[in-house]
Amino acid sequence: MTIAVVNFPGSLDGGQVTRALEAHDAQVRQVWHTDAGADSGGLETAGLEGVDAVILPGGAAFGDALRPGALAKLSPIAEPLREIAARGVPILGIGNGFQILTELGLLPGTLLLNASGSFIGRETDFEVSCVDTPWTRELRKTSRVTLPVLSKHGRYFVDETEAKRLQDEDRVVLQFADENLTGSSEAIAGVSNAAGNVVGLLPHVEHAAEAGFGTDGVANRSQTDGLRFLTSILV
Amino acid sequence: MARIVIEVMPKVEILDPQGKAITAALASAGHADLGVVRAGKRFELEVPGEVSDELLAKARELAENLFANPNIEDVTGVYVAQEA
Repeated sequence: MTIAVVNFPGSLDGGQVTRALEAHDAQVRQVWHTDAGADSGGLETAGLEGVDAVILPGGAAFGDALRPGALAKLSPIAEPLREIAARGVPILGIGNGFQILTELGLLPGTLLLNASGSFIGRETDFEVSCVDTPWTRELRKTSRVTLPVLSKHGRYFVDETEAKRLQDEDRVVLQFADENLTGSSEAIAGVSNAAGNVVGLLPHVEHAAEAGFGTDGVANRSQTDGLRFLTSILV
Repeated sequence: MARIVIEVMPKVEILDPQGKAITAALASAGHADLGVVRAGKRFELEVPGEVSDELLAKARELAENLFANPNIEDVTGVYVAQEA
């Protein structure tokens, strides 16, 4: 199984994602945002050709200029991403990767500045609301996971009609369990597209994928609650 | 040289934490009479030569699809700035 990790200028967490996947015997291909395949700009690159899944890691693509994720729309990789999403290839966006997927129109909604107006970097509990995606099938519905939030723009926003539709269609993947830290609509912290293959997660599952390497905090008992989001794709 | 201006504002129904923070700071500094502040964005595109209808149309399209996020923002103006 080959998983592409797509990096933009300013992507930060590709290393953690790669480390976690490789520890579980996945083949990881690093793809730069201009590597859009052999026919793009005359460059001979593999791009996303033949990959089984794609992960867009966190960070601050293009320095979050304009809006987080917005300038990724202009990258050569945008079209191949849309194309493989339409073909049903599993795509996961984490943090900034989630923001990019919403800006590309591959996921509904928008990630706004946190209601507090400032960066939030701490762990909290989430409830797994949907396990019917390639990124959550190793998890149990309604189970709780402790994961770190590391975002300034982590307030997931959809209007009431859209929020209801997402819930009715079982597309809310993750919700804040006890405290809606960022002020998201319906406490949403993860969603999928209609087909279920594209998922965005606000919390950084790759920072809770290896015991001893998670973020500090008494709440994080196992420090590996994020791992199953990454390994679900491998089973 | 000409300049195209693009103005973008958060939709009224969207909480604007920036505007809210400015409003609160103004009020605590004794300027509550200035009311409620909403913070938007203004972009200036310095283009070489004249602004053709075609170029302005392109700017309008990009204003809607890139400079603003239609989920949360409205484009409130796209126009050619008059030189002073």
